[in-house]
Amino acid sequence: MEIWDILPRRLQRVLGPLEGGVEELRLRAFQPPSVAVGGRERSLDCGALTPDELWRITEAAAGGSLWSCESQLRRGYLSLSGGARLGICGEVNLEHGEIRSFGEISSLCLRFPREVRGCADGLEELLEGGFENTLIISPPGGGKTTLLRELVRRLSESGVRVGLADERGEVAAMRAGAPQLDVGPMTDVLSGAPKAAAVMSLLRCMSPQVVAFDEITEPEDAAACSSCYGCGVKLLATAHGSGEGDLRRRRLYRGLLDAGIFARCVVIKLDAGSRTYEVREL
Amino acid sequence: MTKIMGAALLVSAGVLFGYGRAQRMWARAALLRELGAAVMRMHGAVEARQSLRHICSAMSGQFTGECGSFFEKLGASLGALGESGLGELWERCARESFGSALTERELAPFLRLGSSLGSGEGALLALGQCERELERAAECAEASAARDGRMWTALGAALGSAAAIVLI
Repeated sequence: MEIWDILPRRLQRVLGPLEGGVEELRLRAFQPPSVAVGGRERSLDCGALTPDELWRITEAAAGGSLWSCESQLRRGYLSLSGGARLGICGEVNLEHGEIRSFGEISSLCLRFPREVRGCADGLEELLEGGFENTLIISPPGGGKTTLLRELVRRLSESGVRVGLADERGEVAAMRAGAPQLDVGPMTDVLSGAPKAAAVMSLLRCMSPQVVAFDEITEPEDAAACSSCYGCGVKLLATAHGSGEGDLRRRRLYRGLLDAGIFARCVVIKLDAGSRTYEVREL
Repeated sequence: MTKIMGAALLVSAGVLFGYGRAQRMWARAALLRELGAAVMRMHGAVEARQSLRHICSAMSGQFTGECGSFFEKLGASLGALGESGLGELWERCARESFGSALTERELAPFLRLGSSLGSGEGALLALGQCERELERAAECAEASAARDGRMWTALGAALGSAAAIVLI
């Protein structure tokens, strides 16, 4: 299903005029919908949403087949066509301490992919003179995935063979074997697999020159970074945080930074709706 | 001669009427069997985590008649998800496909299945439960057809014969 088709018609009517600039659509039970544009959220002039409506939207996002999306639901999201992602919040049913399914849905976050060609135009220093292991850092919603995609495209177009581990399908948005978002002509995409397994598979089978993936969140992801470093393959990855100092306070990233795996970081700062990119040597 | 021909027609009409009733009873039992088989195949597909769109496409090709028609209609209506829930679409398609062939009581387990699939939790349990209920309904329908089918055929012949005698 196309992204907008999962929404009830009354929401589609209200959102239609805003379609191009919306970064996120927030849907909460018993609240009117709200949109995030340039990092700012505002409510729409539309009646409050019911829990039933939130269920129907979730059902539509899964194509009526919630059972076929179990692995994504356990991680609290559903991937949609075009690289969009539906984040789900509510009352969960647990199994062995992990999310098994959702009993009640209280809020949804529909995040739209944004392809911003040229957003890396001021970052030539990263691409020229040989690419070095780079970590993109920003808080949630800061534009890490957008910048990652653009850097992958630029590297690929310059003749670098890139292996992209696209776990949630948000970077390349693969459909019928073709990326719906431009990641360049020399990029091999492995989507849907956990990052760590995908990275190892790319290293073994696709002989990439650069491995790229979104969001280092698990120890396994950090281990995959170390494996790439040990193989002489360059890394391009993203992490949630406000800066290098923030990452150093967390064990998961401290090890990577102390080991010198990443040579540079790009810190994305959001100020009054505009983004700035700061490149720092690590 | 005319009376004899008329009497023969009356007897034939009576037999056909009774036979037709019996055949409809057997057809209903066969449909419940087919529906049970469809739910069983669906169980396997859901266990294999196939999408509903894929299931509908496959099943509409594998089954003919009312069953095939149901999956074809459901597949075509999945675009309305978001505006309508799966349970609602399922019920609409089920009633359009089976409404005239099955009783409300016979259709109830299949309608409940649609609601359960839409809730996301316990899809496999719901499919298993529906299979069992349809199996029981099919057995009842077959027993009823075997018992009452002969009765209807005989009744039809008797009524036709009685009318023929009156005519003659």
